[in-house]
Amino acid sequence: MTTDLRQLLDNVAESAVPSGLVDKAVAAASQRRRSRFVVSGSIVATAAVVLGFLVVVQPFAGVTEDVQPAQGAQLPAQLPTAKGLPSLEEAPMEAASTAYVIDGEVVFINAETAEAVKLFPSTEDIPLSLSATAALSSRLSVEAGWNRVVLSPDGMHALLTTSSLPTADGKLGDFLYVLDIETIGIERVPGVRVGDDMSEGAWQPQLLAWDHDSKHFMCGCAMDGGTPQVLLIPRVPPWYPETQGTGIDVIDVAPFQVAAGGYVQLEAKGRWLAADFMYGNVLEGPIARSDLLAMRADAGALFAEVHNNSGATNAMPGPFWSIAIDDGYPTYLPTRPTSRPSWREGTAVGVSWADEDSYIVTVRPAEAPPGEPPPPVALDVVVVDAAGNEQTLTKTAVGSTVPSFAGNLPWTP
Amino acid sequence: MGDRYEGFDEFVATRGPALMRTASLLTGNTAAAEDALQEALTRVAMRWPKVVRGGAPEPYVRRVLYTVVVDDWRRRRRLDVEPADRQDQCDGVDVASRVSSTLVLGDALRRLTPRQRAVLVLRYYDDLTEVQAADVLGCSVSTVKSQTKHALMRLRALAPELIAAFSPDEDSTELKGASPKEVLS
Repeated sequence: MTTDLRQLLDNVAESAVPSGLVDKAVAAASQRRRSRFVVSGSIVATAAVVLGFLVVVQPFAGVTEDVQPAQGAQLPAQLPTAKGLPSLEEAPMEAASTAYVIDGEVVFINAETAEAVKLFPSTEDIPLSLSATAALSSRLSVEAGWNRVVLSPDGMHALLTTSSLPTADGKLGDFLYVLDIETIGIERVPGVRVGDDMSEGAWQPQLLAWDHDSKHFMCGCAMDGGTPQVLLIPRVPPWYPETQGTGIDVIDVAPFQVAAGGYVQLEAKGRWLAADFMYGNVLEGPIARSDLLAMRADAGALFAEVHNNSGATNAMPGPFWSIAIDDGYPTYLPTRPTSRPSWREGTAVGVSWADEDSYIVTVRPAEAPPGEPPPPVALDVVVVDAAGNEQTLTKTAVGSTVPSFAGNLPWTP
Repeated sequence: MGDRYEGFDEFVATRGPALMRTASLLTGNTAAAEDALQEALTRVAMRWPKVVRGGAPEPYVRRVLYTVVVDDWRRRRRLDVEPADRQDQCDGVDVASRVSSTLVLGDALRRLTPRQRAVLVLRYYDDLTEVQAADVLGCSVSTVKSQTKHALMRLRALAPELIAAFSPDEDSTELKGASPKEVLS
């Protein structure tokens, strides 16, 4: 049968390729590449866009912001929403420099190639040829989307959490997934649930961060309302967690995000450190590595998640503080580079490691209008170097945004 | 054409007709096939250097083509738009010089649902396995099997003169007893 049917099908098939197909495809591809980052609505290039800026971010000409991006970082002056972006499947990406959740969808940007993609066409579509993800996305409803992304330092993997997925027992639960960006393989990490479904025996991550090697990730987890622990979990199955410490113990691993747990603190490319932010305490030395940068927040965004999850109190907007580690002991920097309200709408802003001695924070702009809740605005993405100098790298789109920046983000002060 | 697209022209010249054949079978009409192929090639062109580095580009291109076609079905289904292949059933393939069996089959193919047509094309024209076809279509292997059975049965009902070409095989024997009316319902 196969041979006969194949022959018949071959007879029916049309083989005449339309003329000019290559030219049209190439022209369309070039156009799409150029316009990929152009934020819809931002159609007037302003005079504030200086020549150097145009050179650096030529793919994004058309954005109006007068943001001076970091040299070499092919980021748009304003991060795009997922709308209109190709999916990761349509435009495969080997690694990402930036990832963020915008209104429930995940966007990845490769700052070296100036390409941006979204994870799925939309949460209601089952992605084709993604058998590993089909089971996941088929269960996503319009209401359920991604709500957190943490990019690995090598930019090749991401931790993702979802909201409101139905569980086997009919409840709604949030789950943790590990995504391989290049293969788009995605697997749920069993035994970890996010959100309010406090099932017995399930870890609730309050913070997530990657280890240096991108082969492990950290989970500041609590189980059954108990004392949070910091778990070191391999990136690949069977994901056996290894307890790194509890309470105020020093955690000798290297995360890339400032923790929101209230007891863990970042050294850029350094170690997890204990610090009880909630009562204003600072680091206590000695600390093994020197010449590093740590930071903390004063009752600010970094506390938002743990406070909200614990039900203790709502987070209050507060300033970031930077702490330089000198000879193993912390010293406050003389400046507070991002001393301004740092959260919006109850969502913690992001803090990521950027380079050897710098980090990235995402904060409300200083000129943002006040209000309760704070009116939505485009958040500033700011690079802070070891000396406390800051430079605005880009802005987020207006929306519910959770950013994450990988360690391979090109950044030259 | 810049270096970025080096070899793209040659690839389309060489493999374009074969891709167009698949596109026309999947879509059921020439215009939709041309649109699908152009969209697929545009997406491929955007990634051409990486596609070439990966070795043989055709499997990737075919994958993108399948995606484009199936995405179009889904979009039309969401928007409740009549499938393109139903809008111009009398248009499309110029079969004036072809044998009558081809005429009959072409018409019968266009009267299949997009998914039924796809499983036939993927399985019997592009030689994909059931697992591969299921992956492309975003459905289960059992769905591919059942769609294949129903597609073959429907073809038999629509084009009984071609019964030899798609006579029952091991996959469809259990449905042999169904009448054309049942199949077409």
